[in-house]
Amino acid sequence: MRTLIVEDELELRRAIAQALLEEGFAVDLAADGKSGLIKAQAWDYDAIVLDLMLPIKSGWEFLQELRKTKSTPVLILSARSEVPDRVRGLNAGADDYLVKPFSVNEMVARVRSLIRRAAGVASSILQFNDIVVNLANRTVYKANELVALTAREYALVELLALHRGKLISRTMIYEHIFGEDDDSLSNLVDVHVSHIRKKLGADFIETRRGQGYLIHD
Amino acid sequence: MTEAGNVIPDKRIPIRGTRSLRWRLQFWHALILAIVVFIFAAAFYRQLRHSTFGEIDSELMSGAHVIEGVLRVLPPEQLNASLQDVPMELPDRLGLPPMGLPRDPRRPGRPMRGQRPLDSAERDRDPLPRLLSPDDASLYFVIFSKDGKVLRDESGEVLVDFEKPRNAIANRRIDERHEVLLRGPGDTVIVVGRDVHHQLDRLTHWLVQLILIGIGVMALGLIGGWWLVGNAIRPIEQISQTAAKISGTNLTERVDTSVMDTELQSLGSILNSMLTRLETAFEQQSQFIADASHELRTPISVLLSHCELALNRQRSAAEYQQTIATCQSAAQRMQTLVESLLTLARAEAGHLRLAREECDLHELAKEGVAFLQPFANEKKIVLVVQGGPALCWIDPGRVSQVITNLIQNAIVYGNQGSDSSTAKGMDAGEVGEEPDPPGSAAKVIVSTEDNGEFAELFVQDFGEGIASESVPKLFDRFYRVDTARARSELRLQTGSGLGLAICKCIVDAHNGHLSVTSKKDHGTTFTVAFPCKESLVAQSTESQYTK
Repeated sequence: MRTLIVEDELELRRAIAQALLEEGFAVDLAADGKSGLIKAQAWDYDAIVLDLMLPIKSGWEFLQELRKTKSTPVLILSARSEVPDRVRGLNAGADDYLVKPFSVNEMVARVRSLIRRAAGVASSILQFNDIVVNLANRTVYKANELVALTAREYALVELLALHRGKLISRTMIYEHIFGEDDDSLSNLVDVHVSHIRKKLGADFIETRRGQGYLIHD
Repeated sequence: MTEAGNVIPDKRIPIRGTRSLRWRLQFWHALILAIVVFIFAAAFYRQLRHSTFGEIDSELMSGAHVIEGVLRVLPPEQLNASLQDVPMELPDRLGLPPMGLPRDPRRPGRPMRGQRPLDSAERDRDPLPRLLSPDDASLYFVIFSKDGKVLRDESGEVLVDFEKPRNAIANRRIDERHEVLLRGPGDTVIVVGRDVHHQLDRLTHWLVQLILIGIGVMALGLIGGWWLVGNAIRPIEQISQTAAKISGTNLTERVDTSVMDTELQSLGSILNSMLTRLETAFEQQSQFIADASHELRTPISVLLSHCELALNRQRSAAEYQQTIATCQSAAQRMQTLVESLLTLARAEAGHLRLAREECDLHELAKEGVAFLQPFANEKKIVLVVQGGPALCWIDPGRVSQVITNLIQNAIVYGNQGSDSSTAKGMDAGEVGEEPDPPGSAAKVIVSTEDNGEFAELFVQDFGEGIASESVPKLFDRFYRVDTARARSELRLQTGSGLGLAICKCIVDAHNGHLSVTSKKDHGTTFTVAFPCKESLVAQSTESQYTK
């Protein structure tokens, strides 16, 4: 899952990025509202973590402009804890509001829940025949046996599982599981898919040649 | 007023207690009313009684004098024997024809000579017809010899005691009778009496009526007084209710003065203006606290999130080191912020201690420039010091802080897309001395001047300037001119929007002036002016004495 962090405070940006990276997210960074908006409009992020008090373009302006074109889930991180601020943030189009200082683990959980919701999935446990994907623990079980997947493999499984029954193109996979700083060679996706098939069974992921991949419901 | 003053929010107004203004007013009102009614009733009753008995007494007196006149014409020797056969008549009262012997209903058989009933016209003439109707006028008399022997008794069944009057004439009251004792000729004692129980009954009746009327008047007066006092203190109750409604979070309530009397109106408007001032101060205070906590939240967030991350899983030593370094810098930032807040709070409370000494602003400017030279180099800014010595009586530590802050701001704001050609116009005479270094687009000029009255220091940058709407807010706490570069640079350097506010406080504490002029695209000049040494020494000794 690919996320964008728009936060002007360097150290905080680093902390949020590290927390998300460690939880298997691909992370893009922006230090002000303007550059953040450019990135947010250019890519389909799975979630955006947004500070409100941003230079150049405030968080509210960011949201206002973003919502014209995108429905990306947005989690606001703000030091403004008053109820009117929270209401204003949520009404401006944010999906969740977290007050600073916050727990990074809670932040990650909220981001995950936002992504799940946006994909129309309420439960954090997804089941496909004998394969169980636990989105909260980021684990995959096959016939009640824990399957060891790499972070990339898991991210790919998660993406396909969240959009079960839908065809996911290669571009989408690149956009959602690799951050802007990752070098993405086109054949890597095929490598990951073949690894997953070895671990979870050949028919778990279906390939539509020239179109993409999907997991059947 | 004590009620209004002591109101604590959320507590009922203690309007019904013993300290209640209404009850106290009512008490005094009742007391005064009771005294007035009592005095009036007592005077009236006394007058009534006096006139009743006064008339009876004069009637008895005249009767006694008539008897005395009869006795006077008798030979003296006869005054020792019985006078039973001597014809004697008591006059009827009030100029009516003499009447015979007492017409006592208890002695109906006795003839009453010369008596005739009073007609209605005569009754009307009677000033106290009810009290002194002829029916009651049962006069009797007894004549005693000097040694107490009864010479003549016309008292019927009434027992009359002998008593020698001390004066020629005397009154006495026995039970329900009034009697007059008169010394007659030959030391005889003439006692003329009369039954007054009707009069006494009527007086008692009047007394009862007076008491009832008094109670009625009291009741009416008290009810009226309660109503009046209630009306008078209603605005006070309103004021105290308003005051009670005002709590820490709600200072918007106001007393409605339009319905009040003049005296209370002024109280109400004083209260209102006090509330307005309080509200403003309160809002400023809570805004400041909100800003301060907002500023503190960022480093706290950094600290907490890095600690949480580090604790999430096993880390390498290098990662822990990194985390600790981050936490340290966040803590340092908080320290800076807290110290800035403390400085501000001290300055605003007038507790800023200044270690004044004779200083040259020019030297301080040089030190500041030297201190910030590395930062300026990093930002590719040329720092220039100009001007001559400017002596003043200041705290060098504090003023250095101001100068450093101003130069630092100038470095941050001054290098934004400006080129030196736009700067040429400003203070060209001084700028001209320094040749523009090739490749450098910006510079900051720090100059000092002693104009006789003030020692002045100018910090001039040639950046994009400050928008005119921002200029008045520059010295506000937590105000930041929000541009990307300024923000990120300043965040790293100082981490608060308090720099200029503190500068202003420090300069003000020195009785100096801090001002700013800015022109869009031409740059900004901050001016610090301290009174010159001589004038300031005088001021400071003055202020020492006043403190």
